[in-house]
Amino acid sequence: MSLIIYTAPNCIRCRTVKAYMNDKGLEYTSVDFKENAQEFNTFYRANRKAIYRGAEGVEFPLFEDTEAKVVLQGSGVILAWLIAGKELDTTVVRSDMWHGWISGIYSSNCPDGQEDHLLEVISWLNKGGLQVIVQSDGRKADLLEKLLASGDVSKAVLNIPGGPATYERLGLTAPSAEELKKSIDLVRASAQGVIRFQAIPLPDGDAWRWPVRDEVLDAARMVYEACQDHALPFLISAATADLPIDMHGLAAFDSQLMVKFRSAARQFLFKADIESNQN
Amino acid sequence: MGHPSVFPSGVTIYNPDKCWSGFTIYQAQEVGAVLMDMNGREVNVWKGVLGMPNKIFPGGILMTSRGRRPGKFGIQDGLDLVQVDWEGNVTWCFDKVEYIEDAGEEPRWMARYHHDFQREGNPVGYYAPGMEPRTDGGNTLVLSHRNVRNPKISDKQLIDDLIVEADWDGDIVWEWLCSDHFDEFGFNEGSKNAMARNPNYRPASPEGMGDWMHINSMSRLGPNKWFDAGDTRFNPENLICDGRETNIIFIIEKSTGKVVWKLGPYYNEGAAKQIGWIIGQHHAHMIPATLPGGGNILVFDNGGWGGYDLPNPGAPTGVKAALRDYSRVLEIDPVSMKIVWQYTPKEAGFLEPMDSSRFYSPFISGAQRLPNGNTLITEGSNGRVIEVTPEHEIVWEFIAPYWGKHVPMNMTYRAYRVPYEWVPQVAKPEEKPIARVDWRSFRVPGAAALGDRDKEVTVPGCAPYGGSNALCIASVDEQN
Repeated sequence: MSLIIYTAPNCIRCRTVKAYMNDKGLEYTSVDFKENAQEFNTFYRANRKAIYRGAEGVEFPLFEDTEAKVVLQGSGVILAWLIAGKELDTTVVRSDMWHGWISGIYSSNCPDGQEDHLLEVISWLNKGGLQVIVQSDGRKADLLEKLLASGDVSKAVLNIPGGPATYERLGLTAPSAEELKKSIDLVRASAQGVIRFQAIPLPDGDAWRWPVRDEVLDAARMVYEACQDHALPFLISAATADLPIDMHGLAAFDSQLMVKFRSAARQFLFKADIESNQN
Repeated sequence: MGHPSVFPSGVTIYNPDKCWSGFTIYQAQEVGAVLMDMNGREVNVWKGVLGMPNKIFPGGILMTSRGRRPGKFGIQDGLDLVQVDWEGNVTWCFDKVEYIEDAGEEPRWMARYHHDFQREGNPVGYYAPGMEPRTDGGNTLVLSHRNVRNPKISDKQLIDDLIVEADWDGDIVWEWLCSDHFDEFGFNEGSKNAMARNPNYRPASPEGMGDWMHINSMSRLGPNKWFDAGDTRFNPENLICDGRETNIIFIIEKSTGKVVWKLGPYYNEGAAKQIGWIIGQHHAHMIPATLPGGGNILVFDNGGWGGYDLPNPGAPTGVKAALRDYSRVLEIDPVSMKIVWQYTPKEAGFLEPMDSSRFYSPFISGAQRLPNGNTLITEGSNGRVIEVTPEHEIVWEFIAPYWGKHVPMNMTYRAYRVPYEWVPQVAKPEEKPIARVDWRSFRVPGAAALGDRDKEVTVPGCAPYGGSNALCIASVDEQN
C-alpha cells in the first residue's frame, strides 16, 4: 500500500482528507502521531526538510505516497495532489491559517483546464468543515466568479503586487482593466472580501528586493483605473516569513515603510489603509 | 476677577534696552496672521488664514492653515498646513491625512492639523541660533486627529491625537497614535472611571467624540545636554507633548513610540510634588540648546480646569478635576524635576491668592525663550503677550485689538518673536520706547483727573493704614 496519512487526534483537516480517500475508495494507512509515535518519528526524521513547522507547530495531516516518492503537508495540498496530481502545485500551497480556516489557494495560478479540479478541492475542504480563503491577483476573474458562486469559499482576497510592470517583472501578464474590475467587484461583493496591495519579494536582475513606493503608486493607479472608485476599501500589507511565499533571503519588510506606501496608494485610493496586523 | 470694559490695546510697554527686539507673529481673531514690529505696526497681514499657531520661518515665510473643518463635524480640525510666501502664495501644502466626506460638504483631503507642527532644521519652531527651519525641503511633523474606538478608554467614539511626519512630497513616513499608548500614562482607577464615562465628550455630527487627551503641543527635543551625558530618554529625535485634558507632559521615544519620560498626571507625591499641580498646560517644550536654559522644559501651566480623577465639589463627575484660578510659566529641570525659573502671580507682583487671577489664561497660551534670556509669554485668553526678563520685569506688553464676532474674545493662541533678519522684505524698523503709563492717572476723555476733588476732610481717631493685609482669606504669605 503506497498511501500513508499521518494524523493528529481530533484533527478535522485529517478527517477531511480521509473522507475524500474513503469516498474514492483509495486504500491507505493511517498513522496517528501519538498512538504510533515511533513510526511517526521515523517518518518525521526522514522527511524533516519537507515538513514546515510554523509558530503553532506542525500542521497535520502529513502524507506520503511511497510509490510516487511524494511527501506532502496540509489538507489542501494533499487533496490537490490526489485530485489533480502536480497540476495544482502552484495553485494550492501551504496554508498559513489555523483554527478552522484554510488558505494557500491562489486561483489566478490555476492552469487552464484545471478549474473543475480546483473547485473539487475547495468543495471537499468546505465539506470537511474548513472555512476556505481564496486569493487572487486579478487574473482569471471567471474562475474566481465560479469559486464564489459555489458557496464553498468563505473569504476572497485580491492581492495586487504592483502595477503592470510588476506583473511583468514576476513573469506574469497583468489583468486587463475589465478583468481586474470584475475581480474587484466580486471580492468587494463577497463577505469579508479584502482588496490589498501585498508587498512580496520582486526579482531585480540577479537579486531580489522589496517593492518601492512608486510600485505601490502604480498598483493603486491600476486598481483605480479599473474600478474608477477613489473610495474603494484598499489595504496595504507585506508578506511575512510565515506565508507560503519564498522570501529569497530578504530581511523582513521594513514596517516603517507602510505609512509611506499608504500615502502612495492614497494618491488614487483615498481610503487606503494599513492592514491591522501589519503595524 | 472682573475686567474693565475699556482698556488699552496694541503695544503698551516697550523698553528697547531690555528687549530682544524683532517682529512678532500672532493670529488676529477672525482676521488672519499679523506680523508686527515692536511698536505694534503691522508689517504684513496674511488675511483669512487660521494658524494654530502661525510661525514665521527665514525669508519672511509664513507657516499657517487655510481654515478649519465645520465645528459640527470635528473639533479644531485644520484643513491643511501650508507654507506661504511674503506675497501670500502657497509654496507648500500638506493635507493628505484623511479624505473627509462630511454630510452636505464637498469631500476633500484634510490634514486635521491642530495645535502644532515642526519643520526639520529646528526642533521647536522658533528662533534659536544655528537651528533654522528648512523652507526648501525636509520633513514636517504635524499634530493631527483621527477618530478611533478604544474600549480601554471609553465605549464612546474618541477624537484621538495623531502625530504624522510627512516628507517634502507629502508622503507620511512615520505616525504615532496616542490611544495606542494609553497604558503608559499611569492613570489610576479613579481617573479611568471618570474618563470612561466622559472622555471629554464633545458634540459632533453624526456622532459625538471624546477629546480625551487633547495634545496641544508637539516638538522635537533637539540636541541637549542630557542626551550628551548619556540619558537616552532625551534622544534629540524624541518628541515632547502635553495633554491638556490629562495634565500630563510626556516624551515619546521616536524609534519605538513608547512614552519614556512623563510629568503628571498626578502631583501629590514623588518628584512632581515639588512642582505642584500643572493643570491644563500648553506649549511644553524643551528649550533649544543654543538658548539660555537650554535643555530645560518650558511650559505655560494654565490652571483653570483639567484632569480626570475622583469626583470632588469642583468636578462632580471627576472630569476636569483639578482646579486653579491663575496661571504659571515654569522652567523645569527634567532630571531633577525642580523648577529653575518661573513667572507666576507672585513674580508678577500680585497678592496671592486674592489677586492671582490677574495672571490667568485658562486655555491656549505659550512661552518662548529668547536669546537674551527673556521669555515671551502669551497669556492667550485675553490676547496679552508680554516679554519678561529673567528678573520678571515686563519690558514689552501687547494687547491684541481684534475681537471676534464668532468667538467674542480677543484671544490669541500663541505668539512668536522672530529676528529681523528672518524678514528680509522689511528694513529694521525704528524702535520707539513706550514708557509704562501710570494707570492710576490714566483717564479717558471726559473722566475726572486723579485727585480732582472738591473737598476732603480728616476724621479724628483713625488708625494708620498698613500693618496687616489680613483679608477674608489668608494670603500665601500668611500660610507660609
